Amino acid sequence: MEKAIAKNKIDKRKVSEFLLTYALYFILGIILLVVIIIEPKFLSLTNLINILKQASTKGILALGCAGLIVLAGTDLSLGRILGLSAAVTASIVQSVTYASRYYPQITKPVPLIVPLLISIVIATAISAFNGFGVAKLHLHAFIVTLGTSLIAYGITCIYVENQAMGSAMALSTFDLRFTNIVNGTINLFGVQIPYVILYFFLASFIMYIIWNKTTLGKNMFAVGGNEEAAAVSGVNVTKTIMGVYIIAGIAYGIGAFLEAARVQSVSTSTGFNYELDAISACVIGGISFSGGVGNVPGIMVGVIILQAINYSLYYLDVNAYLQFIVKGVIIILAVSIDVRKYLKRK
Amino acid sequence: MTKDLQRPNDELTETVPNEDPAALTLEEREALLVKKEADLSKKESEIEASKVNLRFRYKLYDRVNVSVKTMNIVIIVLVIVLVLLVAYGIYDARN
Repeated sequence: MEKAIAKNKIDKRKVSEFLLTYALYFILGIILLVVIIIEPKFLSLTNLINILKQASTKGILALGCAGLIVLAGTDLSLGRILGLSAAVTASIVQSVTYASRYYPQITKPVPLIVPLLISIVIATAISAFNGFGVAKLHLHAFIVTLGTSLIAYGITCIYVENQAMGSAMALSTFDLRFTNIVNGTINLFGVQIPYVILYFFLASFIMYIIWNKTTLGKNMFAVGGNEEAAAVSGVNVTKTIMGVYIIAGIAYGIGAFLEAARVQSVSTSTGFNYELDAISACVIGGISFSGGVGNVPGIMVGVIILQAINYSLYYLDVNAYLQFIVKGVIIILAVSIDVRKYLKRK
Repeated sequence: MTKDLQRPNDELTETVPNEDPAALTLEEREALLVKKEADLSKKESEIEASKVNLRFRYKLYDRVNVSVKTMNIVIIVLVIVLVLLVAYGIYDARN
């Protein structure tokens, strides 16, 4: 009898433990279920593709940012780095027939590899600067990335407002080859899948290889888990941190290029709050702020779930300001669950 | 091992006497001791400096000092808040 009561207690504890650990997934799942019940049309292939399409560029950004969170750091400059890289990309890929283009001296369409490389170089340079501040100067990632965020925003504003027309209007009217890179589709099993979704899955695969099959990936988890132990074990902490920041920069550069093509208009506000989306997607996906914990499939799930929630609230015409509050609560809830896991381990 | 054998003789003759205190004079031993102590204190200060650097880069949760029970309550409260917010949002949108 006593054994049965004890077993019952253990089972109850296990259930409550399970519910608390995966509380966020349950709640987000329930919210989606409620939305589907209210609006059964929500569960359509078009909406699913739209969610994946919107999640794709943010997913690539989250993949870059996730490495920094695994290192027990973060990146507040992500959105503004994206804004700057996207602005430069947009100014180069404007249609040569557009009279108010940023560079009137460009009279022939530029090969698309040029803006892509420029975007990657800009984002990587800023991210490497962040990495230098964290790895060499031992500054906290919050401070360095906050500083570079403001610097990148300032440069973006100067760049965008420096148009020949002398106005701050958004950079638009792009070369069709550029927009087709993202908005073009491929027919897979009778379904038109936008290219950008494929890029996201490709980027996830590459990041999975980097994280799990390379020395840098293994060292990243070692440094994130316990920096002192990693240093004593012979891991070059500085090199590892710099490596992760550079990879993040490359991801931001690619993300900026794709985002410019996706939204087809770049202004000074492009990239605003993207860092919050990326960080919250990572935390929802199980990347721990305490460092050394996380995996790529988790990030993919986190990004898609977060986008699905955003999309569903927008679909139901929920007040836009309330959507910010909901997002904020989701982030705090995700971090609380993460802290709880940390305390359990401690 | 091969590298050691290939080292020039003068290099070996230079290092061997220093490593054997018995072959040194008292003054040389004292000088060697002072040098070693200086090296040791230098290394110790380097280790301390690196420890300070590592400690400075503290982790985000290192200062979290609450019980699991408290966090459980926080999570439950947040879940309720989230559900109520979404419910209100949907209700507001539909009315």
